[in-house]
Amino acid sequence: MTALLEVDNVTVEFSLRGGPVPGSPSRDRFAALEGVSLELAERETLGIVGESGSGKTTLVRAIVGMVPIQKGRIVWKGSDLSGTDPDSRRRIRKDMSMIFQNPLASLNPRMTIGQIIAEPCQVHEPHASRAEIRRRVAETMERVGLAPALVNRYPHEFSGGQCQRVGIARALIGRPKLIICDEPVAALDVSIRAQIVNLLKQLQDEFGISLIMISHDLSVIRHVSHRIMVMYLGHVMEMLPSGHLLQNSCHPYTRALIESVPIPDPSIQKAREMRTIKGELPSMRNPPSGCRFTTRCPIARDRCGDSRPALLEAGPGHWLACPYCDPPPGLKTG
Amino acid sequence: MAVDGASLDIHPGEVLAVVGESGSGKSQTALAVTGLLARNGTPEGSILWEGREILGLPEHRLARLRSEEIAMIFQNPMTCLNPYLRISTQMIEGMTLNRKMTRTQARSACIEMLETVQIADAGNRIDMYPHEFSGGMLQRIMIAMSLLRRPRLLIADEPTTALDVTVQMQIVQLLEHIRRQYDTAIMLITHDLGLVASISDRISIMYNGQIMESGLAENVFSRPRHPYTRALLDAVPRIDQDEKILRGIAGDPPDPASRTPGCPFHSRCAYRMAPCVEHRPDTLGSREHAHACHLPDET
Ligand SMILES: Nc1ncnc2c1ncn2[C@@H]1O[C@H](COP(=O)(O)OP(=O)(O)OP(=O)(O)O)[C@@H](O)[C@H]1O
Ligand code: SF4
Ligand SMILES: [Mg+2]
Repeated sequence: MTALLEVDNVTVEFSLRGGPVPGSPSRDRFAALEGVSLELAERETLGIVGESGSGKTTLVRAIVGMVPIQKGRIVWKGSDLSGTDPDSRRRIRKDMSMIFQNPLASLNPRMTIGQIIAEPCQVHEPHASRAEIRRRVAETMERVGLAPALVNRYPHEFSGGQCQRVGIARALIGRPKLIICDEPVAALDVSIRAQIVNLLKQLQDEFGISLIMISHDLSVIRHVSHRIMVMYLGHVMEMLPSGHLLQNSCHPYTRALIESVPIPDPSIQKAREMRTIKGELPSMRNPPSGCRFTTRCPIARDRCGDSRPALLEAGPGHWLACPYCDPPPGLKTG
Repeated sequence: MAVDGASLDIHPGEVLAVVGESGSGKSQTALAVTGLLARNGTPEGSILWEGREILGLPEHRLARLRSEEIAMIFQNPMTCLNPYLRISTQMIEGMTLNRKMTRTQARSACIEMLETVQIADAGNRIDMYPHEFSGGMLQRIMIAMSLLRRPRLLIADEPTTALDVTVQMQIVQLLEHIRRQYDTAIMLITHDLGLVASISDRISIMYNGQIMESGLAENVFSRPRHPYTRALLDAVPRIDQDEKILRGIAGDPPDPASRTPGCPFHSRCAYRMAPCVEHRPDTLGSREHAHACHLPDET
């Protein structure tokens, strides 16, 4: 399995006064992302979960080149993105597209649906004829469940679910290899979320796309992803196949997340022992030293604050950054 | 009650969840309860407060009821907080205004209430400004403020939607504690079925201003009768189950401006029959479990 995308030990820093400023002295900076690595295969869905401010959006913005990285490499099909010339970088970027959380706000209100969907095509394929583009727009609209007859309407005439379909059509029209979805359903009504989740899964099957899916909602992430990455304050805590999440995950933060997800069935939920995670999320600008979860971890010991625990392989495809938690129950030996 | 004949009732110490999507009229219903709607909308029917009709009460009587007996908390705590004033100023003001209390007494009551909602180091933090707190802490501070007046009814409109899951559970436990400790009735307005399952005693499922199904939480979740309730439960993934596909509900949430003579859900309902389009179904059942649908039972 060759990786489509490889994120290798990437660090992204921001100026404490706001904005990415690579040149500012280090005491004025903080790392929103520190030493993060991941691999993504073709046709794979990687889900990223973590509390607000854990660096999920920063990570995907670094991948698509929207924020500069201070350390590490981003490798696309074997070639280092930071090393390639602007032209090939642009070509690679055409292979990636993004879908955002707030469907209406991410669409230009003055453009028609057709113009919005066609835009990436016009940027990346300036030689495509108008007729060709029109055909592609109609075809893509149909694929995402929008009637092509709506092509001349404006975003404000659409519901939230329809706007998200427009966002998906726009992301899809350039036939990307990777679509990154940053909280694609958080702003939608419950009955619409399932429609969009199903559509994304179906398009992935059909076109063999890879997906990176960011969500606060662990139930959604588990449902759509092949693998799950758990982030906390800019570090990766655990990464494992989503089928193993309930049985084999063992990082105290992952376990706390799982226990916090309510089950929509009162006879089960009310009987569950809810051990809420104590304390507040520390500030990213002044994070705890060593393991970033120390201040809230139920099993923390003194040594946890000394140095950052390495992300080590705890089982097949299972990476874990805690030396003190119990090993995955599925893997216990003698 | 105000929203197109929707009726709700809630007892002391009870948590009633009003569940619905955007445009379902759930916040509208809450506003009607507090009589706020009276100025722009025109509520019909009746609102009984401890057995007495409050609809049509003179404004000053309603205002007193609102300020002394009913409190509201919102999704965004900043709708209730002034960003430029210290928490202490904002909390103490309300107390010294309404009750005969010295500032020192009020201050220590406020600190005590902040401790109840688990704000650590409340004695010092009470003098901080809103921006110095996290979203979850602000939510708890807002709850503390709303509790200072010891309301009989607390209306919580999407109180956890903007919060991380780990913090959501802290708020759930806090609400649970409040109803135990003070026998406060809580009306929880939300679309989050997980939250509903965590805390509510009874549920009302709303669609376009009307109640589709209501009853004890256990009844509605384990024996849902209305096609909308069932579809809603099928549309959410569960952490404890491996569902291969989620069944979304086709179509879009209701347009609040539209009114149909039939069942409000008919355009999206998989079981639609001719009467559904023309006649509003009657609500059948009891306080334990009731629903409004033309389908014969056991379908
Ligand atoms: N352009 C920027 N300038 C300065 N700080 C930033 C910038 N973008 C993000 N940050 C900070 O970096 C940290 C990580 O933010 P990020 O948006 O990646 O988190 P997230 O995991 O996506 O959170 P959420 O779930 O709330 O979307 C936060 O502390 C944020 O305030
Ligand atoms: S390294 Fe220490 S603090 Fe971090 S998760 Fe493990 S036990 Fe907890
Ligand atoms: Mg984000």
